[in-house]
Amino acid sequence: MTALLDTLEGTLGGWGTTLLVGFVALAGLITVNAMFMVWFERKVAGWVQGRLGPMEHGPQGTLQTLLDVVKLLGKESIIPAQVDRKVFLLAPVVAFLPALAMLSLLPYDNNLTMTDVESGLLLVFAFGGVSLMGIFMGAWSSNNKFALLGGMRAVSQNIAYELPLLLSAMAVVLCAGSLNLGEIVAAQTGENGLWFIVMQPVALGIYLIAATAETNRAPFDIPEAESELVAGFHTEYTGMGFAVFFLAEYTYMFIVCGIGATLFLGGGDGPLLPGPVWFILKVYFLLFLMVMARWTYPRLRFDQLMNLAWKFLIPLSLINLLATAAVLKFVEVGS
Amino acid sequence: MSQDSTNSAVPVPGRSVRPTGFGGAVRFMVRSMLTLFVGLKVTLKKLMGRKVTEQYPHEKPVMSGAFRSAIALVSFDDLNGTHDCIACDACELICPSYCITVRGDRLPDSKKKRATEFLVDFSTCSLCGLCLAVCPTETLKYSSGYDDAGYNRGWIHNLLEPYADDPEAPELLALLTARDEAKRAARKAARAAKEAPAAKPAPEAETTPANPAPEGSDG
Amino acid sequence: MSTESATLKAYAAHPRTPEYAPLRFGTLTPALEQAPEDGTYYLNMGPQHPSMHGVLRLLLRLDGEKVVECEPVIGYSHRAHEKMAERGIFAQFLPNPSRMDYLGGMIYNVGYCQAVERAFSIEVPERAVVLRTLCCELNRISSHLLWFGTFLLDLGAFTPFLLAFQDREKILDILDSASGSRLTYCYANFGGLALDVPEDFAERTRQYIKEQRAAFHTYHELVTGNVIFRQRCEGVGIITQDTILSYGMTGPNARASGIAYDVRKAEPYGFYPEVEFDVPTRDEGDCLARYFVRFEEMEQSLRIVEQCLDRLPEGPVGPKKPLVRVKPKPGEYYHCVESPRGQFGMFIVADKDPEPWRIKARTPSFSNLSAMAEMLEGTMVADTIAILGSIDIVMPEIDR
Repeated sequence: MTALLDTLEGTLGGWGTTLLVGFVALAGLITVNAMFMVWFERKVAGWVQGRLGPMEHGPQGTLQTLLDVVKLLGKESIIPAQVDRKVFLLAPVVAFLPALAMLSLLPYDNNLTMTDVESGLLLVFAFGGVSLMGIFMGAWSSNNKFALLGGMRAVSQNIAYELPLLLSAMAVVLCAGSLNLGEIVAAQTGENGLWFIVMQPVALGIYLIAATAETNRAPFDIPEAESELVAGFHTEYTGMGFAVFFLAEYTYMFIVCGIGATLFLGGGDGPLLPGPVWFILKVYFLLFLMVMARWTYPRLRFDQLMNLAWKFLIPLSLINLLATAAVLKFVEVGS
Repeated sequence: MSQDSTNSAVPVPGRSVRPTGFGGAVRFMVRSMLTLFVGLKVTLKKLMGRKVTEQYPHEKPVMSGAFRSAIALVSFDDLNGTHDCIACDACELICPSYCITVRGDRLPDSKKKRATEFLVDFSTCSLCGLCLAVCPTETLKYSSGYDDAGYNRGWIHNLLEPYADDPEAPELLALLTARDEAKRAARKAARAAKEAPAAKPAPEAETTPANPAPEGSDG
Repeated sequence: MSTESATLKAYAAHPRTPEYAPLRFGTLTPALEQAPEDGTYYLNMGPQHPSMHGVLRLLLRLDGEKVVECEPVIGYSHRAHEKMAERGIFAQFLPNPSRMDYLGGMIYNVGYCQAVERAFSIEVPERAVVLRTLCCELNRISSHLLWFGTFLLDLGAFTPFLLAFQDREKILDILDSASGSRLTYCYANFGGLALDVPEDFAERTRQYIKEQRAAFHTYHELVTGNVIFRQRCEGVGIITQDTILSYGMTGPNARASGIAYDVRKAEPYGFYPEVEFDVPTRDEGDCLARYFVRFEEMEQSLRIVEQCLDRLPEGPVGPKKPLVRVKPKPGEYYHCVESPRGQFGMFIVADKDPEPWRIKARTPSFSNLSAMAEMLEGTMVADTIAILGSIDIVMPEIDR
């Protein structure tokens, strides 16, 4: 392994090696995460509803997703006659690609980050905005009214919920005093470091709600509300196009929960087990909460969703931010 | 009018009150959040709770005694285990979905008719039970199979299939005649018992015409 | 509870020759040819749409997400049931009524039998009467449970749907043990029932009643209290009493708007005059009111089932040999029953022939759906689904 790395470093240089290894690792992470999450979600859904979930393939149906992927790959990709072909084909890629960049910014452990940049947190959210482009491209180019409605909903929803997401993260940034994700973790893991969930429980609540809405998950899944809009923005997508949108959704869930674990749960901090394991455990705990929410609550209406963001979450997160700033100032003056 | 229904075991919650003022709004928010946690508690309990799925092809459910599947022919003990379809066409005529086809022929040297073909297109059957109701010999019943499906629309049930090894015609004729005689005897005995109510210890008196006496099968 | 008098007053106060609300079928379809010029657009919901309850097609003219105009397009599952009735003898129509409304199959089946029995004076043994009432109420609960599940599914919650189905499954098992079918029953026939209930029927039903009451508690915790659910339902899709009277809406939809009209009380049939039950009503007329009315109705149905079980007499459940060929008396006959969706009526015209001359089914969902167009104006697309779910339509019953 070391020898292989050495050879790679010899031919590609240090930067190239990081890129290659990181890319392969992230691609693996994306695939494994999506496959696990789909299975996990179906299992939890089944258990919540008194069912068993997938059982046929592999122990407890673990191979079900793999076979589903094979099935999706084998499906014919139908491109309807009246779509804007270029945009239609590009949309899933645009929706999915930022996920790679975002994943490369996550701190999996103290010094296990593919790209360690000073304003990592901002960059993650910025890339999140790009993926929205992909969703809207797909919705617009589909030439389908259901898809268009879904796309419009997605855009206004994501704009509304990006604010509380950022504002709640900013409260943590104030506490940590850095935008670098690694340093935010470090601020929680020092000798008298405390996970920010203790200091910022309100911010965590807002973050979770906003993150659920950002990833278009139930109860905020109005862009793809199947009982209203058939399948929303991906109504016209089949086969691989649909699979890539699907993959993007689950990857974004992993990312927002990864950021959540970094900001509030101390990243890879924890006893006994190695850092990355703790990180993954925390991420999946948050993912579990998201899955449970999906199978518990009915869907909000579009205007109620907007009301929740603009009238409740944003003022609350602003108050939280102000209070955090005030307390920090008092502490600073006091010491 | 009746906000709380009388006599109901579980009280139905009333309407929520619209919040007024800032304090009311805050209280409304807090109460709303609590309802979300109550819901989550229910689903978490269900998550751990009992699962009801039946793994169908691996474990097969038991059907109730009344279960209706495609019709089948009853086998009678006193006819050596064969059916008693006389091809009278009553079921074919009454069937509202025209899914029964019966053809019959006379037994040699006899006036008695006997089904030679009994086909049911189960895909159009609506399980109304009219064929059972009109059958004069009560030789139709519902079968209890539930996983029979065909590979095409023309797939039909052949009700005579289980009776492929029908008794030879002369033998069958003897059986039928014997049964009819037993029936007649039973009816006579019943009438006799009725006329003389004082003396009715005879077991034949209890046998009804519908259930022919068991000794009839021996003869 | 001022059930009967309120009803009669409401209907008496209504002018006998009213300006009937125009049926809005076929108003928008011709306009489809050209796009509207005021920035609105047409959205074709259905007949292939996840929440159109079968094959309803809603033609909506939308302004953004707001519904400007709406036209329900029906007829996609027309099967000519009424014509089928003329083709055979009375008994040959037996399997059809339960296929019209597959969720209230038992009630439709019993309703048809009662109509024929009333018309041609056929005696029904007491045990059969009680058992029919019992099974009808079980069927009503199962229909309301399915409504509850699909309504929540329309609102985007999946778990209540399957929980309701699990409870419904118990009813189906009980009805299966009695009648042999699970969905489209052909249990009642002229003069009684096809066969008697099994021995453990009473015990199983009582066990089920106990479990169902506990399950109601779970539903209220999971759904009724939920703030999102409340927000989606409260004040949404209000139906006024005028609308109800002019469109002839019946059933829980009418009762949720304060019209305590229930066929079981207004024109008692079967065993209903003998049992005690209330007709729950609400005044608000919105989705939440309809939700509550249906829940309270389920509890009343449980009460009726309990009373029927307590007073189940011994004896035969029908004539020895099922009555297939009834002797018709020429004339016109009408009999109506309370289906889970409202008043289901059977209008029979008979002459001397063994076949009915004409059978007309008055199905409640048709009237209920007719009011949709009025209710939907000015709501949002998401509300459309909620309202459609809350009025509980069954498409084959509308198309017939």
